[in-house]
Amino acid sequence: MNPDGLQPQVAQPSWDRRVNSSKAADRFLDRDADLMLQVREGNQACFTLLLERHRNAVIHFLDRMVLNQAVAEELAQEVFLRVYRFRLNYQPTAKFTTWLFRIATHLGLNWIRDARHEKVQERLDQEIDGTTRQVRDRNRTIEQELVYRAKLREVRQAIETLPSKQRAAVVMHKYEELGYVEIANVLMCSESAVKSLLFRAYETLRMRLAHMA
Amino acid sequence: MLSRRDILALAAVGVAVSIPAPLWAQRRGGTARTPPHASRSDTDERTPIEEFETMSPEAQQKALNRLSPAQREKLQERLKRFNSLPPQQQQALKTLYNRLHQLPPERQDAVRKAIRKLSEQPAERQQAMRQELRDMTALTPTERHAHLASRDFRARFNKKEQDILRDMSPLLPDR
Amino acid sequence: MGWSPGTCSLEDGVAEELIVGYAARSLDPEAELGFERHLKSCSRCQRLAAQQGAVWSALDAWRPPAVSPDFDRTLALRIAASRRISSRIYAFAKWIWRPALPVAAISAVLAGFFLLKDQHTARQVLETQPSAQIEQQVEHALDDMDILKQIGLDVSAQRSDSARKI
Repeated sequence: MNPDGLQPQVAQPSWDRRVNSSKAADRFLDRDADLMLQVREGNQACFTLLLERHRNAVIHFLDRMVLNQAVAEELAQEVFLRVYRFRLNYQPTAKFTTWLFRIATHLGLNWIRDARHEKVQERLDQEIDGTTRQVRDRNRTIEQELVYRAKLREVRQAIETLPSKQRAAVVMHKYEELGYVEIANVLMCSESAVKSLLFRAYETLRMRLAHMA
Repeated sequence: MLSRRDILALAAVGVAVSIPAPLWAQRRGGTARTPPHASRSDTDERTPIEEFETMSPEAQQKALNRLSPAQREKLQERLKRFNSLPPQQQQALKTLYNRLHQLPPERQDAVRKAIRKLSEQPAERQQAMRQELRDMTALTPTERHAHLASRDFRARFNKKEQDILRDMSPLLPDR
Repeated sequence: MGWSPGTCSLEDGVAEELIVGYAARSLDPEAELGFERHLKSCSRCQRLAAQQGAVWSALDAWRPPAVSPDFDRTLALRIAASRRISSRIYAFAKWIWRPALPVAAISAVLAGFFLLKDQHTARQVLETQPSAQIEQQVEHALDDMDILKQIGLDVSAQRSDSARKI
């Protein structure tokens, strides 16, 4: 053990409390699988409930992945369409959200791969200044709003420089607050691979964004 | 090679099996939650549970019949469990529910997330955090805001716990 | 700018995990305290932790825009359309294994009916979208009650006494 009381890495439990989940959380999460099983049995209302619970999270996740709001909603539609189409084959072998985010990540990564030819800067400028529903916060002055938008542009550019899998890992870790194991389940890789993705991504982001402190 | 009769027969079969398709549309496809009322108060506004309970038996049955038998049974069981809670507890939950639904949808989601995170903490930390919430009910919103930024608060709770308590503070009553 | 071994008492990967966890506020209390003790004596981790904190705050500022109000309705229409297509494909697959039906006259009438039904389906889908049915609202409400029970119910009422000096 080192002087600070921190255990060496070998055979240590994770310090990250996202690893742990209580029975109450599990009960809540099981409800999604329960609902999906009812969708499998033909209950449309349960599909609507699942949509209600997860629509925003999926859209926001995809928005941060593809950096284009219209595309994010289009892809999110596809996510839920696939959930509906595959309902008859649904088996609760993993958490419902793992399955959902796996579909979303797959679609997001494919879109990023296919859209690489587009001009990055042009799209980002359109996104921030024109075509999105990024409504001006009325509590901000004009100057504050300009500063905010400049900051937002920098953050989005920094995210866009990340390789797509690193981007997916960061978005899941930061915004969906998933733990390493959950992210590994979504990306279908090992926990150590996820840590490698994340730490490389954060290293890049520190280089680009640390001056914003 | 298909004959004309075969093609017309194909069209007939296609039409015949398209008739069940609207069944999906006929079943309810309600989507968004009912938006919170603009001026919902903590205790006055009726929750959907109360709305349901005050419907006529026929209307209740009509609503329940839109569910599958398994779903219907589950809902009735959950309602029975809720209604068997002591009246004071039901009222307290109703108050919290109305406060939650006064918030914008994004804030509501943040509060729900924070409560889930609270239940994931070790038991003794949950106890400390619940006590903190109880103690904060005695503060005005301004005092609460100051308290959440105070050194004493930050010394007693780690950053994660601070975030949870901050996110849950909109549920506290306005003094 | 990244972490490198040899300048810090923590092992490979451990420091990075702690730095990220510390900024994410996801470390358990003991690890957080231990890391804060470490930061007092390690300038490199101190610098990286500060940078990671800046990154975290910057990422916090990125709020997604509002979801389109017609998202659910559009999805409902797409699902209805996909159900019609798959029903027809299924029926056709069944049909090719059966003898052709002698219904030439009926098919003309039904073809017209089909066109009208299609429009009716889309209208029905839209008409059922506007608000959630009461049974769904009740389920949502019960879900919220289950969540709210976890708080501890005595925060619902105002306290006239101050049990502890805050």
